[in-house]
Amino acid sequence: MNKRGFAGFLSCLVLLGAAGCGAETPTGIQRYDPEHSTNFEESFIAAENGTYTLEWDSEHYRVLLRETSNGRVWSTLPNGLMTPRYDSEGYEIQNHPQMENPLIVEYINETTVQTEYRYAYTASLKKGDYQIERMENGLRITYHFAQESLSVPVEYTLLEDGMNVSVNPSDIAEGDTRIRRITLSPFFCSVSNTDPNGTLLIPSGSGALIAPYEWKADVGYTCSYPVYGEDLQLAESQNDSINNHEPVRLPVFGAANGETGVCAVIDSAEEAASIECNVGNDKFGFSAVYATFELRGLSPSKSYSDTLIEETISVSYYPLTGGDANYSGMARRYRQTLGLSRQDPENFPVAALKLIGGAHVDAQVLGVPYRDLFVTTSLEQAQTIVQRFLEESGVTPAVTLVGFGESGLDVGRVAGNYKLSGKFGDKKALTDLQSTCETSGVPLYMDYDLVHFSRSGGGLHTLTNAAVTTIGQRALRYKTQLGSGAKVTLKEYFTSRVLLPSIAEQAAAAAVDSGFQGISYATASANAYSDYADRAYYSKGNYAEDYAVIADHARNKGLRLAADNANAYAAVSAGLITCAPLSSDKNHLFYTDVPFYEIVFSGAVPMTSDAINLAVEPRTQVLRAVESGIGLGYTFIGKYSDKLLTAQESFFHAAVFDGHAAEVIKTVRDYSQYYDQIRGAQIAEHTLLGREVRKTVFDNGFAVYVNYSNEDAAVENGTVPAQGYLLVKGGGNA
Amino acid sequence: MKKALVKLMTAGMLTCILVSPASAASPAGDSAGIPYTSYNYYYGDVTKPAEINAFYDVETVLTAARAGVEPFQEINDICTDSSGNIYILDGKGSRVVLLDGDYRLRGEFSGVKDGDEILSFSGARGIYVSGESLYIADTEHARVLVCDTSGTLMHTILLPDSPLIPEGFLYRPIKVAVDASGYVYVLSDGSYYGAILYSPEQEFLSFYGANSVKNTITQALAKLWKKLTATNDRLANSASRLPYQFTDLYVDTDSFIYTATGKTPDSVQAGQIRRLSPGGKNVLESEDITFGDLSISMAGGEMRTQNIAGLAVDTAGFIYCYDISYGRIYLYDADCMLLAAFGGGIGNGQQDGTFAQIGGIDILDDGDRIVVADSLHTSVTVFRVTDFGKKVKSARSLTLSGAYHEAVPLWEEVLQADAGCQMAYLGLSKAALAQKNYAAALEYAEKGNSASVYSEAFSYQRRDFIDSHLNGIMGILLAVTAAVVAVVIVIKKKKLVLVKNQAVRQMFAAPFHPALVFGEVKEKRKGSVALGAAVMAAFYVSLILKTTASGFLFRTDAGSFNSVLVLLQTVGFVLLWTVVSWAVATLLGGIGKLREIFVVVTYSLLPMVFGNIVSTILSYGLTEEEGVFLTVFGAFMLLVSVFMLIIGSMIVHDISFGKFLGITLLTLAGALIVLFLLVLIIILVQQTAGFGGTLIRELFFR
Repeated sequence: MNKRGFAGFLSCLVLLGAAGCGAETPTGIQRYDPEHSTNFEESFIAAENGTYTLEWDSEHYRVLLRETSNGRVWSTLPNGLMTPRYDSEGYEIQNHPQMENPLIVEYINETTVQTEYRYAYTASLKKGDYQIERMENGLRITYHFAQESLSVPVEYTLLEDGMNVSVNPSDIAEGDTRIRRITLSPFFCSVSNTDPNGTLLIPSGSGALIAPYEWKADVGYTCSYPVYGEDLQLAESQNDSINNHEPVRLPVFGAANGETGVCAVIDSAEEAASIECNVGNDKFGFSAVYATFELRGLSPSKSYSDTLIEETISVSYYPLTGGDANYSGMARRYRQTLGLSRQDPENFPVAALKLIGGAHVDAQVLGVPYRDLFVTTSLEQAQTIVQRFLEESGVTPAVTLVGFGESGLDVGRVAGNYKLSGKFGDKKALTDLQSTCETSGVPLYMDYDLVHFSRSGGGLHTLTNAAVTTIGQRALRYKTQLGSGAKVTLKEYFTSRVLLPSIAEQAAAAAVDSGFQGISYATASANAYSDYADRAYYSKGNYAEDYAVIADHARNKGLRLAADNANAYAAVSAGLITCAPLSSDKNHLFYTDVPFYEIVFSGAVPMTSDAINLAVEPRTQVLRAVESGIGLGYTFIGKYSDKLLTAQESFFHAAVFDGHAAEVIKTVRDYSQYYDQIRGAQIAEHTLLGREVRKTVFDNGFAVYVNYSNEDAAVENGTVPAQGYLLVKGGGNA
Repeated sequence: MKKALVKLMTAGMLTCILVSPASAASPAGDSAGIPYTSYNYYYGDVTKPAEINAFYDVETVLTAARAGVEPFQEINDICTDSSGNIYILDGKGSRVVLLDGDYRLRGEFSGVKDGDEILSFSGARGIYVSGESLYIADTEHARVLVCDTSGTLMHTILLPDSPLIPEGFLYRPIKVAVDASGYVYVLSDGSYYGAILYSPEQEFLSFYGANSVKNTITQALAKLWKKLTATNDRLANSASRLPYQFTDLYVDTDSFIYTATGKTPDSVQAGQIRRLSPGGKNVLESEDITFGDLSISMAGGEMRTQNIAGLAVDTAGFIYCYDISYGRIYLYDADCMLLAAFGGGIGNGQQDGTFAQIGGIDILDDGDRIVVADSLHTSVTVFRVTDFGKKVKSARSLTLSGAYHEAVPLWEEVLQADAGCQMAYLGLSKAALAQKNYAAALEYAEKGNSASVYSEAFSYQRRDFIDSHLNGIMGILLAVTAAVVAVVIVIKKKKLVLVKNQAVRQMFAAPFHPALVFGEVKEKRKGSVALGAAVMAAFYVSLILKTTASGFLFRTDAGSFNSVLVLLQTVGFVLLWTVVSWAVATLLGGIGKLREIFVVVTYSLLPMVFGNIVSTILSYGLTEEEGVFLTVFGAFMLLVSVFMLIIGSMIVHDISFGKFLGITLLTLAGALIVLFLLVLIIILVQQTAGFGGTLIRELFFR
């Protein structure tokens, strides 16, 4: 290279480097106008239908939803505080300002780079710095935060049976301050701390209830659950040594006390939402559950995204009363929102088997280490397992093959390079397995990991097709080590979000080519993640829409679709949900678990439980399945070796089929007698008769009482044995 | 404190995040129903934590509301009595809450009644129940209050007036225990003298069972150096190393005292749990055992070393202890073998079975239930043993008591549920050995990683084999000997040459005639570089085989074996030695050439190659005790190699022995310098590559 060329090269280099040093103007964000207009409207009715009116209450700066027939009001303020209260000397008791607050804004303090909070009630409404606009079927209030140079317009719309609150991020105006998250109507779903019947619903895993009267503190206890789980980019990047979490799988929450309640459904941008709670705060006297939306994403290195998410955020609040003012009512309301239709009971399997093909383990040749694919279940073994299960239990299970790709359970080329590794068996072995399943009516699914990859191939290159973080680096997976709890960064990447549907299409084509009639995308159905290469994918954005396309690809190929650990977006399109959650995250705040998830999808989508044989107490897990009215799930391998201790996954020791076969087959045989009675039925009602005794009523006339305690329990229809259940039809035992 | 922490955690009133759960999606579909993973340590080619089936499930988490009492301010300790009652000490609130075994409220009292006076025990940190007497370690008031379960004072234990108590001793009772005879043991915060022992009549007897100061060699040398060099003033002002104080104590059914010593400055702790005889001596073989996790990590900006702060013991000798750093419970058997670790949270546990800060532990139903208090969450977690855990504990108890055969069905059931359970294999190996089923014992012992059982079974099996095949073995030996003698005679008589290649023949002659062979290398330019390289490669391969392919008893570190490191240690060392030795010798007047030095060094490796191969083969035929033979044999081969190197070097350089020593020392020094330079170069290359990579990434993503 001559001198001139070299100088030119250096100049380019310097220019390119310098190009990144200037401050960027975030795209898609309106500039805050310090001269913005404000207006003050007297109280008015913004919209009405036969059932409700949506009103602006100028005296208290509130948006109200009023039931026309009885005047009952739902608002951002808790129900019990709508009427004035007076102290012993006759002075009106002022509500805590936060309880009057319709919007919380979390922003990034440019000086400290820490996030701080502002409350619309004190920072905007009380200062008169807001603007109200009437709109069709509702109103729009723009909350201005002058000190932070922020404006957030919130639209309130009347629905047929409730109210919708929404914010379009494109309408948010920023000055120099960057907005991070917003919380809508924090006390719309709330109950009194002293109400013994008051509960908050958090749909963590199967679902959990918080009983606020159990908690009492000066500043309250809080929790936060990202909808569809933590962004995979951030998952396990924290070090608390805990790796068994049950995320929120449904974008719904609520509060009820048996007389009144509210069911809130996040209709849009649910991927960016977290369902949060504030419980037992003495100053408030009320506990609440609410949705907070992440408008600016975060990287593991704590850097924020340049601009805001694209999708409009929207939460619909549905008032509940009487018999609906409980979690069963919320489930019914949410089910109605999903518009699910019933399925033929024949499609509901008593059991589902997940067979794990293999995993990479440490190996060496003459001291030279390498990772070798260890076969935990060959195709021949898979056939033997299925055959034995069929013959001895008399039950036709659904079967999913997991980790049969090129790299087993581990991450290699995307989707296991779309093919079965020859290590598991030859073509004939596969054909034999498929024909055994076909002749026995066993639905056979092949699972593909669309989300992770560590090697180029299959349409992805590690350098260019990986999802990126907020600072443009390829996002990496993290893992927490057992014992020390140390965080380990893996050289494994996430599929670029824009390519996810096309990867799924290739996987579907590969499944068809391999002769499968069913397909499963476990990692995609159970997780969501961001890709900051495109604004559409900020804060896990549009994941549900992407999955809908993925599901369409599978259906278009004539494949049955199973969804494992299914989040709502996957559950609605699934022909079978495997590993349906039977417990919650077991947060200290939770009073008890409820089968909310199962109530929602019962009758509409066949479900089987997460692995009974891997549960802490299989017997209890079976009882949970009884209570939830779903099939039993099992995870098996055909062969175990100590070598598997070097595999990334650590469940193999408890999954050897031969060790469990006798007990499992007996359990399934017994269970099928129960399941036949309620197969395909919808859960009409679920009731807690105590912490240990529960009742599930199915819409086919059967009801089951489940007793988790160690003593027999008397119920209205008889006695439920300890650690057992009682199935009744109508008034008598079934 | 709690308020402050709660405030800290909930800063921002509505929007602070306490829980940020990751996804539960596991390819196995394993939610297990509990947040934590139960694990043990797998010992084999590698030592690493391995998940096991859950031993304990969370039965319930008791809060003040669930117990039906006013909120706790801080739970500082917990204890249980033989009737299954639970006593919760809210030290900050000066309150004791009593629950029955079904967690129903039986009573509570705030302050101890002394006539008309109510004695506050605000700040108390320990509680113990013995019969109908409740002992409250009233830390801040320098006393132990003894009351009945309704809170009526029976008597008070104060700091005794005794010449045995050092001047200025600060009496701050933190834990109390009482043995079957009524002797009272009190731990005082900051005291390194051990427990303060009182008679049943509350008379001070002595200090009891203090930890001892352990000195390493370097510490002893430093102490000696200080003694020799420091002035009297400096000595007087220097700090002494004192033993670490106990953090908890527990009385077992035999009235032995178990103690826990929490955190010491060591990065990995050991011997934190002791079982003291009446004389105060540790009768538990625990001094070298690390209680808690074997590896540690950074969390919350600090290195989390083990901190075994409390314990409980059941009648079978199972030890239930907790690590306050990680928030985990560890279950050990009477032999200090870890059965299970569970719980967690690393100071921020938000889920059932995880903890923010464990404040105390005790057991119910002889260990079927464990109650654990969380000081910051002001809750009590009750763990209940699972079916699996119960089986393992029963089987392990039987095995430890020598009832191997009775334990077999249990161990078999355990293995059906958990195919990786090493304890089960260990139990089965002992049973098989007792039943003289040596083949099975060998198989199980290898899986259970028990060298002692394997060695014993192997010696019996070998003896049986020799007994039953003695004639055949002797016949084979005689035949082989006769064949060898015959071959030698034929070779001698017919003057046959087995190895026709002269260079190869010369190489093999080197160990027997080093002076002659290396003399020819020098004078007749004999000796082959290619053969030398082959020997070097053989040395590398034989070392790998010895490490990774030896018999079970002699295979060490095979899992963590690093062939690249061995390559550097073998080939790298030979090349480095050759080059540096040549350079040094040339400077000092040695006349050896590079080729000659290489031949000498590599030919000298032949005995070690032979030694490695023979050791690998013999490792399949020797017991653990006989392993010393392999050590001696290996050492002898090393000596032969060194001898050859000395002779060869002296010959090729034409130097004396003294000069050889000088060259050797300088060669070693030179090798170190070269290594240092190599490391510098590697670091430089790495940093340059890193810079280049960053540059490319920056360019790529802009």
